[in-house]
Amino acid sequence: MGINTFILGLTADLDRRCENLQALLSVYKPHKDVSRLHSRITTMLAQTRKKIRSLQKSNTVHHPELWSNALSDYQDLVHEFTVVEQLGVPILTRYNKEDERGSALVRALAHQIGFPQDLIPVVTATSDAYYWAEENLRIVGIPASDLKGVLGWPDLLHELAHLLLAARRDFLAGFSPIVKEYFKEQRERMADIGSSPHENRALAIAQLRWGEGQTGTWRLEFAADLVATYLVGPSYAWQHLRLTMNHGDDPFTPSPPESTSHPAPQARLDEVAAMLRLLKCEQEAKAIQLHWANMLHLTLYDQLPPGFRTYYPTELMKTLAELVFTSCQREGLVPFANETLSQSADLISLINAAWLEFNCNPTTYVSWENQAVQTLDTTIFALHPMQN
Amino acid sequence: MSDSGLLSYEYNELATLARQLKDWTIALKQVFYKIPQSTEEEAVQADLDTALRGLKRTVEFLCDVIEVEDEGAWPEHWLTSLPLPTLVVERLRKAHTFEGPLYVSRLERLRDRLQVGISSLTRKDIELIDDIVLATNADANAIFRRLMRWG
Repeated sequence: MGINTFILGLTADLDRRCENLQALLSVYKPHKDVSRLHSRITTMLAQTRKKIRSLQKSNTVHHPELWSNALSDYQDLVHEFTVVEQLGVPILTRYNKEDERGSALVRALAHQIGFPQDLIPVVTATSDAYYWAEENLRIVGIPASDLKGVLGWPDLLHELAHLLLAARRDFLAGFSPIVKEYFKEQRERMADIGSSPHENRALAIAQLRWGEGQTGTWRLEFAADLVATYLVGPSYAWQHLRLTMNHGDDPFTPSPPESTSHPAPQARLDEVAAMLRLLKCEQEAKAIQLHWANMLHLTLYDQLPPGFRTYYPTELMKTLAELVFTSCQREGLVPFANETLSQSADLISLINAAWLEFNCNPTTYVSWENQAVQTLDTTIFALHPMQN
Repeated sequence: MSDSGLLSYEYNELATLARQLKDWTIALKQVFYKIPQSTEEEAVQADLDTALRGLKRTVEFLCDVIEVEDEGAWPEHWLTSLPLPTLVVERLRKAHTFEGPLYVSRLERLRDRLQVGISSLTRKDIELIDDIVLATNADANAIFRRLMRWG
């Protein structure tokens, strides 16, 4: 038996598994909150089956010179199926009261901030990986304890931002030429003054991480932080401090010569502070930066490592903040404004009130939060049922 | 965003690139090996000229960087627009560690032949191209495994 016959057998097996899932979904009556997810998954399975049939008939699987490509094609289809089977279907079929509550929270937030209706995700309160967003299925995962834990809710805005950035490919349009020009100038400056191979390498890695494509994750992560700050204001920075203290991260990693997908927590704080200044929250930015500095004094990490600003240049970060600010306005998102905060009427106010309460009375905050979340189901959440 | 969120982004980007490279390679191979196509396949196949140009650019990039581990010494125009991510370059570099200069000269010949056109390509050239496509795919698979926490 040639290997292509084995691959053909695997495609038939995969098709059968798609069919099994379709059968399961066809008798499953989804909760109204997840009927769009149900429909999306059903469509994805149908598309995968269509591609399987196309592969089975194609040249790639019937001509030896193309068998390696047939295997890649098959693997792509396995990936498509796996996302549905291991992520989509379990979330759909388990959708319970906790998930409902999470979805109601997201809907209420989305309504308040002017988030596009068609991008509003379903929430699963099953996350074992903190907050995350899956753009194809349009799902956001949150940790179960955060359903009634207001302090972490700014990070929900970060995930909504990622869904927006994935859907609006032109949101950061105009940034690439700025990045290109910036690094060209830096390279010329370094050539003039003379630079070490180490410095050249740091600059190259920074350019790759600030760029686009698979390597360009920093701009994306910064942009999501900036959008979230635009929407929820100072509480995003406070939550960032909380998260960094919870995780015990080195706030300056990565610095040269390291390179990781996420930018350094310190750089993220700097970026968030830049957006707070654009929102005219100068005092709040200063207060958070003071707390951050005090936190650093308690740790091993109280000095910027060499090359940190090569990776995270202030100029580029400020430009990105301004660009995101403009894009948010263009998108019609509602900016945070101190003047419009009220104590109870809306979630953005509630989130910021929570952080104000926490900062004023950290040891008794928990009782405040208990009371604050108790009435949400019958007040704010009830205002925004699922639209189908 | 958690690690899984960014991994999902990285996977989507790399999978899209891998598919692009594969489509170009298939377009080349269909002509090179004179494989007859159905009407349906013809309709979706990548244009041969586009395929040749795209693959030539990729190979040109590899010629310039495969022996240069330090990204700081890479030509600037590649840093603005990488044809292949650094992970894939590293994978290819490791795979050809023991034949470094020979691999580079093979890549250079391939680049020149892609410039001339499909008639100048040899079987060995097609294998070299396949090698690049497989490396890109391998990295996409590796990211997917991390995303799904498979082993």
